[in-house]
Amino acid sequence: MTPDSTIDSGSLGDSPRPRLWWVGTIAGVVLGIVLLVAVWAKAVDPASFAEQIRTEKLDFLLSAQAIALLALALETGLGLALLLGVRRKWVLLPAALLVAFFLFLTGRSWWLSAHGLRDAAASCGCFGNLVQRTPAEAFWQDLLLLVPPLLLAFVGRGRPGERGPLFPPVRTAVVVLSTLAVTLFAWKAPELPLDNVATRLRPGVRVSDLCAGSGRESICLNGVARGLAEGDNLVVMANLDDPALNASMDALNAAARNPDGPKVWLLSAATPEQVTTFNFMMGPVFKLVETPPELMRPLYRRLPRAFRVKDGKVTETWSGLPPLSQRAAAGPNTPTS
Amino acid sequence: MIHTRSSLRRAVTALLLAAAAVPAARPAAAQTGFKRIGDYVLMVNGKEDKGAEIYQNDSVPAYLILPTVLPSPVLLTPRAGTVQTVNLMKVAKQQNGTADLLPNATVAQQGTFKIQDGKVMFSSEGKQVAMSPNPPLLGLKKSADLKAHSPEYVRTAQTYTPNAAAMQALKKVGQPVTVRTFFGSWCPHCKEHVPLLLKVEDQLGASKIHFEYYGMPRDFKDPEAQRLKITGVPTAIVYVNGRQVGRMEAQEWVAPEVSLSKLLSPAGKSGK
Repeated sequence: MTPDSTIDSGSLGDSPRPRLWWVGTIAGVVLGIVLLVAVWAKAVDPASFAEQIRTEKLDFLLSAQAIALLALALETGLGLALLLGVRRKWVLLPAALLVAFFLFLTGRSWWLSAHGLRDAAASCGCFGNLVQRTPAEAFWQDLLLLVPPLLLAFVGRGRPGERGPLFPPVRTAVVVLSTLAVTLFAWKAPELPLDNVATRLRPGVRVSDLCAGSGRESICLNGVARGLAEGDNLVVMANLDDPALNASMDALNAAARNPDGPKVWLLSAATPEQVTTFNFMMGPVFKLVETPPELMRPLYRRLPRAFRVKDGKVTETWSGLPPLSQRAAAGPNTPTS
Repeated sequence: MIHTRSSLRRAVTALLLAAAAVPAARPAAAQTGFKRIGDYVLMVNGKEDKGAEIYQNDSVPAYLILPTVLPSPVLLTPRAGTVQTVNLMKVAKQQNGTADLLPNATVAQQGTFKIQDGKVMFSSEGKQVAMSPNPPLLGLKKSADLKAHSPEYVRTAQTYTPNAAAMQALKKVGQPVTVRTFFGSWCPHCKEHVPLLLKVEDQLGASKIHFEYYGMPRDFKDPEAQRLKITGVPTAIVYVNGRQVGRMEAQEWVAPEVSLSKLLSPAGKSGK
């Protein structure tokens, strides 16, 4: 984790490092880890990151997807460089700008919500300001996680003569190649079967543990969809105007009518008008549950997504619609894999 | 000539196939289990039909409307989009509040319905009919108001069995308690949870606990709610001797009687 002084020419070789240098190195590693953890969370679900970019109206020059990939590349490069102990100005200055930008975003979000200018309400409005972490929490968490290690990494970067070349060749190569690899991964991630890794919904998890909000204001899936914690349930999460869902209505209705099959649920972050339209145009015979987006969003990367719940525990998940409705959508004679 | 005859045969065949493909307009079989809903009010020629009852069948699916200002009940069939009048004599209301359609109940096609701005619009027997979203209950209300506004509340309450131990504890409460529940009659989650408290209230009968309900607007812009910092519904504020001892929010509504008894227990009160 520490810089390899034998590889990078220009370092001090055997001379002891000053204490401040070690503090700076550790701080840089900490900041690097924080940035890389954030990269991982965003790289497995770049579409969600792009949604945030659109929400913040940052897609005025490039598309949100392109900005998401560029931001991930930048964050990866800086995180890796710090993790590998490269604390040159070309790393620390952009890292400072990035940290300042994150703080600006979370601070602005806090200010907007505190002044009632950003509506954090859920689709049905029932849960008021239900959010994963409040804007104030987001700001203070970012401030505490990012600023102290950044300052220490800056202060403890050592005297100019001790720092070696501007671009330590091996570590710079590692940074560049890894950044390219992570960016490529993020680009392709939506097509990779990573739903169970990238989301909180995976086999083994209990629906009572799938919650949004903090403290006493938190709401969990078993509270929104009462009855989901008991028996055998097949849950589809979808947008109500999704053509794939509409094409599968016969199969889903047939599954819902089957007395021996699981109970069928549809979760959607829909408005009341959308619910009325869906009910009258599609005629579901299963329960449609208006679900707060804050609760549903961490459960999928792309809609539709489906899962099975037995006695309150998720047993299976599917990207897309569950197999029975795919069969019907494809036609009665189409074999399924 | 041969060519003409074969064309005619093809045309007849096509017509027969097309006729077979049209969904059956008049369901001959009985449709049972229509449940009354309170999501919509019925407007006939722009005026509300206050006595109208609207039922939904979850399993068919279909909506049965029993108006007071139209000669015949109306059956709406989602997906097919059809509007049909129904023979009133073939509508059987059941003791449990549901309604059934007896075989061969439908009388005549009235065209199709359309959906506009969340309203379901159609014409029946020469009159313009709309099912509009039911306006929300606002301000201080009693349980009877909620039950009258939303028949679903009554149905959900009927199916709920409160925790016996918690109910026993609540019956023993000796001090005057007020439970004021902020809810939205438009809120699907309130429809799931508030009826549980209605059942608790019904079962407690003459206890020291007084229940009241406060209907919220969708935008939460209500001075009383803002004063009390209500950010989500349902939220119940529990007062003992006029002093607030706690709130029931979010997940605590899964079993409200349990949450309430915890709030009113000595440990619960001291913890607040």
